[in-house]
Amino acid sequence: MAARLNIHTIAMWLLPALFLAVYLAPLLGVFGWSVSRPEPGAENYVRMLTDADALNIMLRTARVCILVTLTSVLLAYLLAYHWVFGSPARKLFMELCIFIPFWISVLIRAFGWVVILRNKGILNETLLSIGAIAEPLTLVRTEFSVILGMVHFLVPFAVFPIASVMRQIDSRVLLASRGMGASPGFTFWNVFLPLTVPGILASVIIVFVFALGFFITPAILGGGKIVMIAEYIYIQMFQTSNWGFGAALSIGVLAVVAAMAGLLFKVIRPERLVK
Amino acid sequence: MSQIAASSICKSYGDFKALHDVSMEISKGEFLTFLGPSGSGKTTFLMILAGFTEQTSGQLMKDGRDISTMAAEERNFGMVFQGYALFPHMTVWQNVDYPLRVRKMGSAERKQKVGRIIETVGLAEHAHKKPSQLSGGQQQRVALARSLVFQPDVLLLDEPLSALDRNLREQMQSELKRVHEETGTTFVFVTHDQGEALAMSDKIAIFNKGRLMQLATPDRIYNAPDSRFVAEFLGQINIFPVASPGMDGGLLRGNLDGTTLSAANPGHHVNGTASIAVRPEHMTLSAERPADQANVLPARVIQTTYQGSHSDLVLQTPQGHSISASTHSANGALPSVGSDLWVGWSPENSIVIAD
Repeated sequence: MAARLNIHTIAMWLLPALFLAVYLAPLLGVFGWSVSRPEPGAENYVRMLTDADALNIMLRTARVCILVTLTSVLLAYLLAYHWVFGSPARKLFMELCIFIPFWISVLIRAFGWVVILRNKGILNETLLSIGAIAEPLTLVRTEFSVILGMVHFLVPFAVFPIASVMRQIDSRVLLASRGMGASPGFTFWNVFLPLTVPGILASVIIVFVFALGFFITPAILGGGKIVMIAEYIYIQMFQTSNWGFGAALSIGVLAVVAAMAGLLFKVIRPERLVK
Repeated sequence: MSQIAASSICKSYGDFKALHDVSMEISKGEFLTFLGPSGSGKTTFLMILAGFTEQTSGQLMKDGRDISTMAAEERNFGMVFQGYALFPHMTVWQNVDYPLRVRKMGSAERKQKVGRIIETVGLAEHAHKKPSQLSGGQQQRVALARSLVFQPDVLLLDEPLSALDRNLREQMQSELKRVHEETGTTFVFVTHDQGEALAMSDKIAIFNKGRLMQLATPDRIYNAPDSRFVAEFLGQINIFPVASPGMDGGLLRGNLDGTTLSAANPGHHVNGTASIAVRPEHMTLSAERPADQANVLPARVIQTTYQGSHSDLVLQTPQGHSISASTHSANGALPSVGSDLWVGWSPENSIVIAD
């Protein structure tokens, strides 16, 4: 009896212990760096909020993340709608569109966009050959290409919470609206859209949090010109050895993500989305 | 003139025929109930009336105007759905206000109309609650208010009481009747509960296997069913198949195991085979063979069930026909199981069913 109890106790504490060892301890270490390197104090945090370079990059990150989030969620809404309410053939097509990207590495997808968008890429060559443009357009290493690559990656993630909420809508509610004389547009704005708001908010938060930590896509499609916060932290850590400053930036990003995750759990109750 | 006239409505889903050639007329202000087992086509027909389902063929008229292809949005019919279909993100007030907002009514008028109908259904103190905070009966009232507030030409109700418990259902039945009388709106009500249909309707339409079997007043449906299905579907009934039926002095006579049974007012032409049916409550039981009854059968008591105001009996004739009878408790003590009696009934209480 005592032995069995012991095994249970050990099993129960295994997960928290693991969490402590591989997650919380390193995190505290990073926090430690941020207030101790190069010397003790809050200097790294002061720099984060005053340094022009850092502020620029944070501003750009915010701008890119907001644009990526809005575009991804809007596209995901349309995809989810057709996925949930489309004909069987369209549903299958949507499923392929949503799931196939998951099997293609993020690296390949980013390079794929480079192949399409670069000066001598497929898009520019085509436009030049049909005479639509005289000079190749600068598409790679711009915010546009970074946003495009990120949206392409994030749309499928945004589809699931929205589709889940759409699936839970009682179709009789929509029939009832029609029966009372409402046009499809009136029904959409007054009934359908409000009922999908929890899914939209969940998608917004998931995409935004994901986008904030994006590293490979901006690094490849931004080509060092469009630096976002994750790449900036990497540079601080591994190229300029500003470990303390890099750590402070990490804690800053973590705080934003934590705040948004908190919002997700409090306002939207994600358990409702997987019903 | 009838308000709604449906003629030869058919609906097929592939090879499956959900409705065969249904025609009926609905008068203004009538309380009409569609009654039938599940899968009988009653809900399909309601959905065709509402415009949510399109008929395969047939014509639908409203006030002399062809509405066969008119969209549900334009028909101006109210509908109460099974499960109510309230808007979960809106308050009671907003739910009821919705059809008026759709009609772009002025806010003063809306306020007055919503206030009045919410008062009528007794929800004034719940106006600012969300549907999820209300009981089933209250949600039912919101659905009713929402579908009546815009003064629809016809109110369609799809099994609105099926989710309520028994007491509440009876209360809502009388409430529905009251609202029907107060508003004077035509009600078309779908149910599979025969008690509900008998208690509430001006007329009942019985559906079976996609066909309209009979449309008549509850009294006619119960006392003069014109098919075996209708007779058996509504309430208890004894059906005796009689041999060599024939007319004799205004009565239909036929032979059952050597006993002649007779029925008045056959109502329709009988040729070939027929059955004589009788409701259990029209059966009289007596220890001695009654001299004054036209239809008499000997029977042995198999089972008795005491129901308070009356008792149900199951009897069996020597030839093995099962008979159900019911007697008022006021008629005295119940016969004991195993005793032999005489069961009798009058030709006026006989129903003729052509097979």
